[in-house]
Amino acid sequence: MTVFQAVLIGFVYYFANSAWNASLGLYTLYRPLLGGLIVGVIMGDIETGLAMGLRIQFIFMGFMSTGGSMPSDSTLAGLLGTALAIMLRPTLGDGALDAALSMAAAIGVLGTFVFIGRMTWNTIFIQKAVDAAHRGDLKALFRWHVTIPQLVLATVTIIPITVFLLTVGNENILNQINQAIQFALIPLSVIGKLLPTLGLAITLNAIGKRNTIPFFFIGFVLSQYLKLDIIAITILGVSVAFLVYFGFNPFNKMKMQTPEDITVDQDDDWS
Amino acid sequence: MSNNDVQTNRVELNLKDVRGAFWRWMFFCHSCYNYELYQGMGITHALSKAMSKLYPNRAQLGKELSKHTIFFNSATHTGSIIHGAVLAMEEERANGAEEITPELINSIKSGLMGPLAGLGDSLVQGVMVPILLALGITLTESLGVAGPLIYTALISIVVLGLAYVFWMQGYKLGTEAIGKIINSGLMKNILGAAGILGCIVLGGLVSNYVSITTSVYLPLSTGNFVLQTNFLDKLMPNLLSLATTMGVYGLVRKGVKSNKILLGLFIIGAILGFLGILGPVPVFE
Repeated sequence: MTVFQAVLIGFVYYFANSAWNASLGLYTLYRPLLGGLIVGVIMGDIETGLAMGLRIQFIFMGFMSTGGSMPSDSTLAGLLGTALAIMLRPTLGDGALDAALSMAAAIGVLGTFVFIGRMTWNTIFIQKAVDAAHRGDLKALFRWHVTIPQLVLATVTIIPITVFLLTVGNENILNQINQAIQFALIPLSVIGKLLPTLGLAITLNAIGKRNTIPFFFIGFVLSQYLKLDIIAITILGVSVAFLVYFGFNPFNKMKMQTPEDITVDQDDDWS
Repeated sequence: MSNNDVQTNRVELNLKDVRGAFWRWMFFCHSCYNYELYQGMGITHALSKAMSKLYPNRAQLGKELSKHTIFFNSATHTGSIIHGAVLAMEEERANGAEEITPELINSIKSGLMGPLAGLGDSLVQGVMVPILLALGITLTESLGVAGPLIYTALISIVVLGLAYVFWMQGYKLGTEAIGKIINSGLMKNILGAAGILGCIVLGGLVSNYVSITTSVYLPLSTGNFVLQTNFLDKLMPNLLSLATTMGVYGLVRKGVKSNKILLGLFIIGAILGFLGILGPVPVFE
């Protein structure tokens, strides 16, 4: 791990959270699938980058950030987890992927402090931005709303990530990590297999209602027993959803169904 | 100032101003995201340039901007329909429409931000992202590097396209039409349909991407009885994955904090892994 590579990974993390990605960071760089590839390119091991990106992505399959909350930092988990896997793989072999996966999940939890910290210290700058807006001073508004918060965010993300990667990338520390996790490889891989259920359950809870849960089991059976791939399931899902909500009554095609006509449950409470 | 004077001196926003405000929103809505106003200054900053055209006088501009420096939080993409509509209202207000008061503008912002955030988060983060991610994962497994890149391109088009269409429609339609759409059956139907689609796809994802297995086996005189392959798989393939997901779903539904569940999964996984209850399926001969 060279200083340049470490800084570059730190910069990718900053960029994902910065103002310069047109609000696409949450949908692109936050996803370990892409983060893994980028770290793979930076560290010159695209194969491990892709493999690790996939594994960490499974954990964060159902990652949702709503209402100004950050359940877990999938960006940091994806970037640092992949970097660890690439560093450990030469000595640990494929076991490195399982070990780095559990570390990635833990890193994701720690990463939420970056979000909480940023939401907190920005309350200081926002006062200045409000004052600038009240004066009609657009230059000062840009300074306090964009320039300064972004400079601070870049500093507190890029420097710690660089230091972390250079510390962990040290040969002695890598050897210690190797020895420490050697005996725990199976439990670590079990944890890695349990974690995806959480994200999927959170998403199911967010979009599913009492009367749509049966469709979850239909999707499971279509995939597990009938071996349909996800594209086929999506096409079936779109068709069924359309039929239920827009095409149920063939004699009244033009009239849109109102929810009262078809929705059975009045309350979403399941208890 | 009479109405006629105003009409002859009408200040109009052109397409460039409206688009400019849109890009300012997309880039800087979270540049100073904070626990006090959330996106409140994001919307103020997004509208500021266009409003400086409506109010060339700096003091007047500051006075008009000050109504926006309050709490606001919505989805970046679907929420942008509010900003489009608010920009149109500001344009009318600057041209003498006195019935458009700051209170009216803010009541529309705070009234619409919740429902539109719910719509956007369900549609995009709940349905589109998991589907496109599943596609990206499948493509990564078969094509390699192209997989993540195709996912990134597709989701970017969806999010930016949705945001742009919503912003421009908000500007064109105005608040009354938006209110009607939100309260109509159409939106409830779209949300309901998205819920069905999302649930079906999630079922497929659990089957594809969760694979919890037990390594328990009994050395019998007739041979080894492997619990996973000789019993569970015959009962129902991938039964443990489905059961675990439903168990976690039950906890989430009950309102257990996700970090607590995460910790629980760590501990349970470590214990069951050490004891050899969960883990790779043993293979004999």
